[in-house]
Amino acid sequence: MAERILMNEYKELQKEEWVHVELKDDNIFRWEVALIVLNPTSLYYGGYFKAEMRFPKRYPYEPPEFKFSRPLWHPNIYKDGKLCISILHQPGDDEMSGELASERWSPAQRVESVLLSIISLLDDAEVSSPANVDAGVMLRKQPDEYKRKVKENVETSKRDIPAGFKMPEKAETKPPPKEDLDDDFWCESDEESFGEDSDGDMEFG
Amino acid sequence: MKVKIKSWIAVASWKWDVPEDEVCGICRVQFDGTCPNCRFPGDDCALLVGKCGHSFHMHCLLDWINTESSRGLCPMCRQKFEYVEQ
Repeated sequence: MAERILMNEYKELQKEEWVHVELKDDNIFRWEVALIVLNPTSLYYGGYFKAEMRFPKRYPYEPPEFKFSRPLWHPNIYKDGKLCISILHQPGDDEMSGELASERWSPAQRVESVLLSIISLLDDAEVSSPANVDAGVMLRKQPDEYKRKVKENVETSKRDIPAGFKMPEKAETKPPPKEDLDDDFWCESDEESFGEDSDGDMEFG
Repeated sequence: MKVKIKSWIAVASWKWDVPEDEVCGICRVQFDGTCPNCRFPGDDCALLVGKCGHSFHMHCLLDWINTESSRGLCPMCRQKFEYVEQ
């Protein structure tokens, strides 16, 4: 069962621009993934974050494991690259952790939902997590220093972009679907909306 | 002209009473297909329709419910899973 589901998920994810997946040693239970942050308002924009995923034979009844190849400076990422994120924990584990059952692993979860949760975790850190206390403190007290360290991580991650791999362009530059085009609409809104993007999304602390 | 029927062959088709494109929330296979471990659809690979509105192949759901960490909850909405008697 696990092989069949994983093979389907693997094929589906191959179509996505925000993630690059390869199998390790042709083993469907071991994936090498790279998360590509396409959102230009993200602090992690332009990064190519390599990680390894291991799937249990009992997948999807048990969650996969996820580990960044280069640990990121982040309150929820351990020094070995593993993550503190509730979606990768079984609902029965460590009752005292304070994680809600509704955020835990369930067999209705998928690789895609896990990876999307991880991408949103990057910009939306849980500062009280014990994974990297120093990063949590820095995010609260020295947000500029924190941003600088993240930028370093992003630059370093670009070394992992495979030769010949074409990084997708940012999400916003994609041409909108043709049927949505309305000449009048574009002419009028052009001037008004100029310079109005990038609101408070990147605030810290 | 008189016609005498000597024999006939009856054919019936059946479907589960669920929306056509609905898939099992665990194995993601359409309900007209079987769970990943069965070869033939039908009563041997039945569906369980939850009171919460979520349906699964019986085999897929039992594999989950029988794990300790499931705590008897529906994989989709995490309410106590109770099935509707058909």
